[in-house]
Formats: sequence, structure tokens, C-alpha cells
Amino acid sequence: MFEALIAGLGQVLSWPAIGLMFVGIGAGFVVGILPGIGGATALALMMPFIFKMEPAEAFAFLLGMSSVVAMTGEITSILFGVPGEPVTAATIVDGHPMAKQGQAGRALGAALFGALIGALVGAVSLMVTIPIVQPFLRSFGSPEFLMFAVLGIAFISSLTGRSPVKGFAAAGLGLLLATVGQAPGTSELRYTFGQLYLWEGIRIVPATLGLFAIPELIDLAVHRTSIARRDVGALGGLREGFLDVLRHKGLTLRACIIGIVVGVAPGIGGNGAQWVAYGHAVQSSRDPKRFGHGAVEGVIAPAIASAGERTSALIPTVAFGIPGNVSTAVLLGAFIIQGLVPGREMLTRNLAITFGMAWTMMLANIIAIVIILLLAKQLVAITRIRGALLIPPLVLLVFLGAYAERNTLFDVVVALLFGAVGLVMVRLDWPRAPMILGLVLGQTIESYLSLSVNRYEFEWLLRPLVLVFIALSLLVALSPYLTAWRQRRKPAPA
Amino acid sequence: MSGDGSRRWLADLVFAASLAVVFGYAIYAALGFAENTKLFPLAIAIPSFLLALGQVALSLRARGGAPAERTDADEPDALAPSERTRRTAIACAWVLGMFAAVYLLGFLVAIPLAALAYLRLGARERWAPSIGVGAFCWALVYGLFDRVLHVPLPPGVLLSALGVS
Repeated sequence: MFEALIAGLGQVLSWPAIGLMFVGIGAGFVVGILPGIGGATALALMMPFIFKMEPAEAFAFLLGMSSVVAMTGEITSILFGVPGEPVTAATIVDGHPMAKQGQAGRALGAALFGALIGALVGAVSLMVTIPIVQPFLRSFGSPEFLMFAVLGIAFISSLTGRSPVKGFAAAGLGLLLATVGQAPGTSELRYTFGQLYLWEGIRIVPATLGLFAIPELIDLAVHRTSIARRDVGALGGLREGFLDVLRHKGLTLRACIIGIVVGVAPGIGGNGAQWVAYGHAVQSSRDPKRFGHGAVEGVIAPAIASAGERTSALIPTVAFGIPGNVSTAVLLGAFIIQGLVPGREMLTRNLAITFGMAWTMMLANIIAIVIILLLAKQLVAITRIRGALLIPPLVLLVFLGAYAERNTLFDVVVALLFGAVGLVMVRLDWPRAPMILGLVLGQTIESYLSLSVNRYEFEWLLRPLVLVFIALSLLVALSPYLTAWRQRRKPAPA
Repeated sequence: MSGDGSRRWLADLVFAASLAVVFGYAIYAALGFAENTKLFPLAIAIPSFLLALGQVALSLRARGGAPAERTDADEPDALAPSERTRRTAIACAWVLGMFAAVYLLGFLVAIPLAALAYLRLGARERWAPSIGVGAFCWALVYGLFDRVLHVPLPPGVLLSALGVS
């Protein structure tokens, strides 16, 4: 274990992994500070670049980027009241009023230092969890892995959208699309409509690019946003913000715990973590009336929880192949591109890579803080870029990203088709994450199902752990309805 | 229900019904597969078909109920629905146009031209930033993808036919 820990650090610090991590951090800065391009979209856009990389390099690049995206997103949230990332929206509530009161530097200091602490604690939790998860995984067979994947899909489908029915139907569509092409084992063609192109199935990269990136860039074009609509004053007081985090030790600790717990539970994501932490900060305050008008605790708690959630979301992703949030759902595609199978192998044979991920997130956050402190004013200037100027390079990245995997324009057509579906889903409030998760996990689930049936026929359904997972999946699937039913039964206030 | 709410309701209903058709077809096609091959598609398509039908039923029940939710769930915007639809159609047309340009002219020629055209005609940008972004895009295609990553870029159908590439 200790050797793997050191080997993981060595992998991250070796060339070219460290260089690629810096490239990722640079890209993360730009993406994070520009509203409109989310972390998941950025990950999707960068996916084609990792084909020729080694696993350690690929994850240094991708995680280096994704771990600073939200941290820099805090800048636009606080300074302009525009969330740089959806996961930094809660920071606006008190961070932006602080900026308006001339305390922008203090709010930024609190948010950034809080995010750093959250990320570090999350990364340590990832490292500490591995010895606990390893023996647990050894007791798993194909049926348990199958049901765990089903549980993950149930979580994402049930909790990421407003309607669980839509979530599950979207997941079903993703799983069904994963069956296109030659069937594993029999090589029989399924749903190929006589098209040679479909024999190899639907590729994850064009599908992810289309589903996530195209709707965002269409949205950018529709809104014609000028990112920074207001001017910002001096950025003094960063140190004061850092000290604020240390002054509120209890809140810092509790926000860390909230972040980690939400991260480990698949499907809730950073959006949930930040608001839960913000609510807790209000609830636990002696003077809740200050919140919404510039209370620094309202900046600290969501920043910490959101960063902790991002890092700890890797725990279920790596250990079980069940993504903790939308970004890790997209990141699962990177595992497949790199030929890595989340689960047992990531905690045994590829343990150094897993530790390397945790090291990357720690290092990337520390480096990001240093760069932000040095370049805060210049970074703010990036937000003055007009949205329209970003569209051609983004379209180019989508097209070339989709094309570059197999060098065929058909993949670009697939990206466009998925883009159209993604756009409709966004407009009609259908969640996209379950669909991409279904597509990513489809083949794995089918192989576990096939192994389970071949080995145990249908008796695998009666294995004790399988029954537990079935019960949990049903509970998760029905939980929104149970919550609604309980709320309806509550007597109305007089 | 408002005009916008009604249109959104109908679109939601059509989308759910389309999914039901897709899942229905998947079940029908899977019945013709070999025993081992059809297990997974059927295990997915049957419950998904029922879910899609359930969503159709939910949509039908919602008709005449509360106004539909916002079209963009994540961020508020001040655009009128008709203006939003118009701009979406224009943006989609530009993206499709860029793909058509790539197909006909290849990445190296099409991308800078499409970038310039979009920024000048679509976004009404000034010449300097338009040329700058066009040049940046060309540098990205040529420098990164062609020279560094050695991605074999297609020459473009039109240019090939003309014998230019």
C-alpha cells in the first residue's frame, strides 16, 4: 500500500505527467472563470487528447483541469454574481454582497482557501478509504458488481433531475444505445441497420461531446453573453479571508464532512453539497439574519463542501465504477479510453494510478491557489472575453475531438446527433447524466449479467448482497415519491 | 396554460412518445436475436418502454394543470421564448453550416473561414477579433492536430473533386 502511495506520487511528478497537469490546470483556469462551460463539458472536450497518453498522464491532465475548474469559478461568482460553475452558485449568495461592500478580496480569500482545504481533505479521504474498500470488494462476485452498477444508475437517475421517470428512461436509452453493434460473446449484430459504421457500436467520445458540449455552446450563442458585465474594484483582503476559514474551525470541519459524505453518495453532486453546507451554515449560526447580506460563513461552507465533494466523488467512481457526480460520469469514459476497469483492479493492480489521482487533485489545488494569488487581477480580465469569440474554437474542439478517435467524419455526425438530443433534453428538463452513464456502463453491465446468468442461472437474484442492493435500488428509485408523499401528509401550517 | 407552456408540454409529450417508439422497436427487434444476445436488450428495453409510456401518461395528465416549468432549469434568462427559439435555430444552423464546410473544404480551410464568417456575419464582431480568432483556430488545427498529434485531416470532398488538395 505504502509503495503504491509513493509510486502514485512519483507518477504524477514524472515527466510528462507533471507538464500535462500544468496544461490541465491552465485549461481549468480558463474554463472555470468563463461561465457557460461547465467542468463536465470541459472534461468531455479534453477527452480526445488523452488517446495517446499513458493512464497516469491522462488523469494528471484531466483531474488537474477538473480540480481547479470550480476553484476559479468562485472568482466570477463572487466578483460578478455570475456562477463560473453551477457548483459555485451558493457562494454568490453571500460572496457577491461582500464584493459589493468592498470586501471582494476577503470573500475570495475565504472561498479559495476553503476550497483548498475541502479538496485536500477529500483527497486524503480517497487515500484513507482504499484500505477499507479493498476487503469489501473481495467479497463481490459478478452479481454483486452488476447490482452495484444498477444501484449507481438508480442514484444518478433518481437524483440528478426533477423527474425520476425521466431519469430512468434516459438511463434506459443510454443502456440501449450501448447494445448497438456486435454482441459480446456471440458477435451477432444488434441495431446496426445494415450500417458498417455501427458494427463497433456508438463511441463514447462523440456521444459525450455531443450530449454535453453542443448544448452548452448553442446556449452560449443564444445568450450572447458578455461575461463580465460589471467592473470590480481592488482585490485587497485575501489574507483576511484565509484567516476567516481558520477562525471558523468547527464550520470548516463540518463542511468537509458534508462534502465527503455527499461525494461518496452517487448522484447528489456538488450542486447538492454546496447548498446542504450553506443551509447548515445558516442553521448553525448564532445570527442567521446576516446570511444573504455578506456573511463570510456563507462563503466558507459551500466552497469547502463543493471542493470536498469533487474529490471524494472519485471514491465510488474508482472503487465501483459508479460516478459520484456528472463530471465523474464523464470521467468514466476516460477509464475506458485508457483500458482501465474501475473496481477491484483500480485498488490492486492499478493502485498507484488511483493514488496518483488523489495526489494530482491535491497538487493541482495547491498550485491553483498559488497561481490565483499571483494572477488574480489578470484572471479577472479573462472574464471580459465576449462569449461569441469562444464559439468557433469550441465548435472546432467538438468536431476535431469527435473526429480524432477514429479519423472518420461519421463520428462528427454522431456528435451532432447527440448534440441535438442533448439540446432537446436540456430544454425539456430531461437529465443527460443518466444517459451517458448508461452508455458508459452498458457493456460492463451486460458482461456482468451474462456472467451471472451463465454461472448461477437466475439463482444469483437470491444472493444476500444482491437482495440488499435490489432493496437499496428500489428505495433510491422510490425515494423522491416517498419524500413527496411524506410532505403531503405533513399538516399545513396554521 | 400559456402559449409557451403549451408548446413545451407538447414537445415534452412528443419526446416521451418518441422514446416509447424507440424502446418499442428495440423490443420488437430484440425478439429476433439469438437467446444469449437478446437477454440484455430485452432486460433494458421492456422496463424503459414502460417508463416512457408512464412519462407520456404523466405528460397527458399535466395538460391543463400548472404552467410548465422553465425551459432552462439551471439559469434564469430574460429572453422571450420566441426570441430564444429563433436564436437557437440560428445557432444550430451555424453549427451545421460549419460541419458542411468541413465536409466540403476540409478542416484546414473550412475552420478559419467558418470562424471568420460566424464572427463577422453571425456575431457582428469587428474585423480584428474575427481574423484573430480565425487565425487561432487555424493554428490549433494545423499546429496541434496536424503537426503535433498527426491526426490525418480529411481534405474535403469539394477540394478533392477539384483536385486542389
